[in-house]
Amino acid sequence: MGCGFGVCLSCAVPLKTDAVVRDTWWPKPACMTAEGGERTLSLVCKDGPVYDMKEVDWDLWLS
Amino acid sequence: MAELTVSIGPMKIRNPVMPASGTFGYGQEYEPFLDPARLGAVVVKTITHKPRLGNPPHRSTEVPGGFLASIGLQNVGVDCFVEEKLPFFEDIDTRLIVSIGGDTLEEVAHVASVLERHDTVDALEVNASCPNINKGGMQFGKDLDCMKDLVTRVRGVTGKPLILKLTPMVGDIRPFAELCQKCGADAVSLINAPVGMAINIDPRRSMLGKNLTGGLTGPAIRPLALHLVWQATKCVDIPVIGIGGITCAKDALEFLIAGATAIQVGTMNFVNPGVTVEIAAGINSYLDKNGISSVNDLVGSLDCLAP
Repeated sequence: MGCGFGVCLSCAVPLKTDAVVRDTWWPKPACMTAEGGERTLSLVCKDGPVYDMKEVDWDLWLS
Repeated sequence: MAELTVSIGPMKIRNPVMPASGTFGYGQEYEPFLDPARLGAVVVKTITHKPRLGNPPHRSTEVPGGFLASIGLQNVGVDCFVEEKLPFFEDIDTRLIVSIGGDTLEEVAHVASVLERHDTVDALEVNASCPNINKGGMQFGKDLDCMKDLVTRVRGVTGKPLILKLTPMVGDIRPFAELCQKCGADAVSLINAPVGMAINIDPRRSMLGKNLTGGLTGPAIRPLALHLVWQATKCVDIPVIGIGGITCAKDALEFLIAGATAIQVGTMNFVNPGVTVEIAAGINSYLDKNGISSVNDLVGSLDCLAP
């Protein structure tokens, strides 16, 4: 099993960069956007386990 | 209390225990669990030039006695590391070893030259062994010519203690360790993860999704690692840092007796985040119990029962 506290980076979930829901109540501290801003990854253990279903990049995740 | 100080080249460390790169985040994540000042050194996640998102899911799965993972060097990049992660270590009384990597020799040398300017960084560990990226990583560490270029280039831009982390995915580890010593490395650390695979038989897909393969870590690789460490210590004079499936003080002692000057703990940090400090205490107890005054007297003390 992964670590559960944000260091093993196993539980990465791809999000749609433009659709990320992020505010004071849902800060998603482990969210990382890079490589031209097209891809965003979030860690379930820090940012989840609940996500807005519209922000998850299901195509990338389940392909 | 036995003497636990060991030397990694010109760098003295308080005790021979440190976390392995990629299992300790950027150090700060472990603050709730342990006092980093009780470790020989902290080794942070491999840093590359640009930020990297790493590999797609699924990135890890459990296997018997181990952990199979394909993270792909996800990291914040060297500029963000210097700006946001490095200040944490300014007030921490321990050695900081930064693992560096990249797709090309130029990239690795660039990262080394950036970190060279920062006194907070005590040493560099070159990741010539990541099993989960297409370029760089293990591709450097499997080829003697490439390895020679890598060590020479990084040595050329840094005066800091230089550690080369080796892959077990070679026919014979000894020429690689010898080459590192010849090209000016201050130490070698081994092993990084060998490549492994696991398949979910119902959808007939890899347990690691489209990554297909991953690095195998955890107790499953310990006997393999111990043998390679023992072999490496026989052919080089520079310190060897033993890594591979260490879960407790007994495991760490095996590596020290085999000849490792220091050890790194990897996957076990995910199971018990305080394990590194417990291992350092356990080594001390063993030395006291056996009347050994310094850990250096234990290093390489394997009784081979030679006639």
